[in-house]
Amino acid sequence: MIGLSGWIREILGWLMTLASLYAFFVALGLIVNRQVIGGGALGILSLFMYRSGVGFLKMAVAARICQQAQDRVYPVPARPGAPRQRRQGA
Amino acid sequence: MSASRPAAPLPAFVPALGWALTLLVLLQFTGRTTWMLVPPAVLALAGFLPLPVAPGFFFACLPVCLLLETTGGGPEEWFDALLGAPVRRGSLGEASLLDLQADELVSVLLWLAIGLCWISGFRELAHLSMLKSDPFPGPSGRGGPSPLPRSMPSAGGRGWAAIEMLALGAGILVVIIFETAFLGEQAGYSALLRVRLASLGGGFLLIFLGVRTVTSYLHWNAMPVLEAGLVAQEAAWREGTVELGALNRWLTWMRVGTRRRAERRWRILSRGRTKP
Repeated sequence: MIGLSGWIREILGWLMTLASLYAFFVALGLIVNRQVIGGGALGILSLFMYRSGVGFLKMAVAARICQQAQDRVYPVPARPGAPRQRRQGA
Repeated sequence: MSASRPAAPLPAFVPALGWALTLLVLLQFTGRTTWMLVPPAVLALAGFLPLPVAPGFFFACLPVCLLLETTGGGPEEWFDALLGAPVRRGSLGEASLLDLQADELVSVLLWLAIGLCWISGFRELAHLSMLKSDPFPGPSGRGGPSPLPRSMPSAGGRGWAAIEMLALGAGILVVIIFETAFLGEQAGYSALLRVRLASLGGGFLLIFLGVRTVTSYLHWNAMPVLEAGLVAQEAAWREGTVELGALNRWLTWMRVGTRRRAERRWRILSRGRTKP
C-alpha cells in the first residue's frame, strides 16, 4: 500500500518532466527563430526542472519499493474490532 | 619499493561529451543539402546492427550522398522532380563527381572524421555503460551505471542502449524535419548553421531526455530493495538537511543561552555570598 505522498510525488514528477520537455521544445523554437538568449535561458531552466522531476520520480519509485518490502515483512494486522469466530460448542 | 600513484581518471561522461561536441562542431562545416545528413542517420540506425557492419554502411552511403550533394538539390527536390513538379533549387542532373571543388573535398574529409568520431563515440559509450561494475549488484541482472553525470537518470543494459540508439536516429530525423521546415529557398549559410546547431543539439537532447526518462523509470522499477532503501535515505537526507541544520542550530544556541544564563546566575550568587 503506497501512501498518498508517494502518488503525489510520482504524478508531480511526471508532470514536471513533461513540462520541462515541452519547455525545452519551446526553447528550441526560440533559438531557431533567432532569440538565442531567451531560448538559452528557457533551456537551462527546463533542464533544472527536468532534473527535479526525475528526482521526484526516482524517490517515488524507491519509496514504493521500500513500502512493498515492508508490507511483505510486516503485514497489516487485523483490526481489533473485527468480529471473532465463535468457538465450536460454546 | 616505489609505488607509482596512478593518474586520476577523468569523469566518465567527459569522453562521451567530447565526442558529441566534436561531432556537432564538424557537422556545422559540412553539407548544404539534406543529403549530407543521411550518413549520420545511417550510422544511427546501424546502431541496431552489429558494430562491424555500421562503418561499412556509412562508407557506402558517403560517396552516394556526396554525389547527390553536388547536384545542389536535397531529397525534397528529388521527390518533387520524381513527382513531375518543377525543380525549385539547384540544377539536377548537371553535376557529376568531376565537379567536386576544393570545399567539397574538405567536406569529404570532414565527413570521414565525423564517421570516425561517431564510431569511436559509440564504442566509448558502450564500453563505459556496459563494462563498468554495478555499484548495487542485485538479482535483476541489470547493466552497469551510466556514463552520464549524476544529474541525468541512469539506465543500464543492452536493451535500453538499443532504445537510446533509436532515440538518436529519431534526433537525426528531427534535424532533417527542422531544416526542411525552417529554411527557405534563399536561406543563408548562417541560418543553416543556426538551424542545424539548434536542431541537432536540441532535437537530439529533447528526444534523448524523453526516451531516457521512460527507460530509467522502467529501470528503477526493477531496482532491489537495498538500492531503493539507499535512494530513499539519500533523498530524505537531501530534503531534510536544511531543516535538520536549522533545528541543530536552534538547539545549539539554546544550549549556549542556557549555559550563559546559568553562569550569570552563578556569578550573581557568588558575588552575593562574598559580600560582608
